[in-house]
Amino acid sequence: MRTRLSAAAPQVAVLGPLALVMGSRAGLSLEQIDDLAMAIELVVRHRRDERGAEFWAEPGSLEVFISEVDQAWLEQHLGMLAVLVSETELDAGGVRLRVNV
Amino acid sequence: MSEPAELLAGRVARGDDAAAEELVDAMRPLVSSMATRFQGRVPRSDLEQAGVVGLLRAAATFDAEHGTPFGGYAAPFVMGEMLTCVRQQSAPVRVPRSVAENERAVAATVDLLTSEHGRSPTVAEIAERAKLDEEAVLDALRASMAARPVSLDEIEPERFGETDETLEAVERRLELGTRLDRLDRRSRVVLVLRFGMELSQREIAERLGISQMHVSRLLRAAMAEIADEGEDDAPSG
Repeated sequence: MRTRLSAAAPQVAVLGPLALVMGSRAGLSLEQIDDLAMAIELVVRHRRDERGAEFWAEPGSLEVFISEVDQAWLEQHLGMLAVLVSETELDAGGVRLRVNV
Repeated sequence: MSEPAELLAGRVARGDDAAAEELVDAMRPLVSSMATRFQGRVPRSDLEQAGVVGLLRAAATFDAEHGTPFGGYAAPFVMGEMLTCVRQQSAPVRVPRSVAENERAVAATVDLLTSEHGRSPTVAEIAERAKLDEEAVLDALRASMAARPVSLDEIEPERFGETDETLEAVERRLELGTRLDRLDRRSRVVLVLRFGMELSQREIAERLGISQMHVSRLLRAAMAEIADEGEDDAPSG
């Protein structure tokens, strides 16, 4: 699932419920879904920019890519993101978050 | 020299997306200044997003021929959207009765399954135990995510046992600098338990004597504060 959000869009309000639905499809636990939603919220709240988000769900794992994220800010917050999700990777000007069951 | 806001607004009204971005950048000081009036009541980033919506609504109906400066014309639109944002987030979230009933059933089922299995349940497990379909569980969880956090004051103070030295050590490790200083001590403790000591939401819930869903709301509120503080530090481009 892929979406493009304008700077003015309520990004947290859109991406949180998407994480819930996609996490449910992937069979993640409620706490894992919630932690992922918090990680997404942390990233998109950092700065109001137009950005894209992509979700890939498969049984046992969910991956989310959020584009247009300030890399210096990301590097500073990798520690927090690593607590919330299984894997975090800086990629092509964005961040890839992965949660495994 | 940048184009006057009045001309940019005219281009926005004609559907020019690039002009919309320029206008938002040009009017950012106005939006930021107006957001300051409501600071502390809702996250600053939400206020500023609402302000941008107000700006764009104003641009859609602005007529430069009347001679009114765009800033003066737009201010009531920006204020209106911010007030709506404050009202929506300050008032209890109103959900249909069936969703509210399911929300209570789901919360109770989550606690029950967490206690039985020693781990957080999946949506499918909640649906099966609560005898609801998964869509109804997802609706209830969405409503729960949107709910306001309950005050930390309800938690017994002795449960926040960390010393100031422990808090400071973990804050340094998180490299969040002085931003945590601006949060109240109990919010700092919840963040430190999660990110410093890496306790799961379930473990924090047990330690503080509250539900995992309550911990989730507290963490979300504290993290929103941190993210908003970070936004202040970020370059505006």
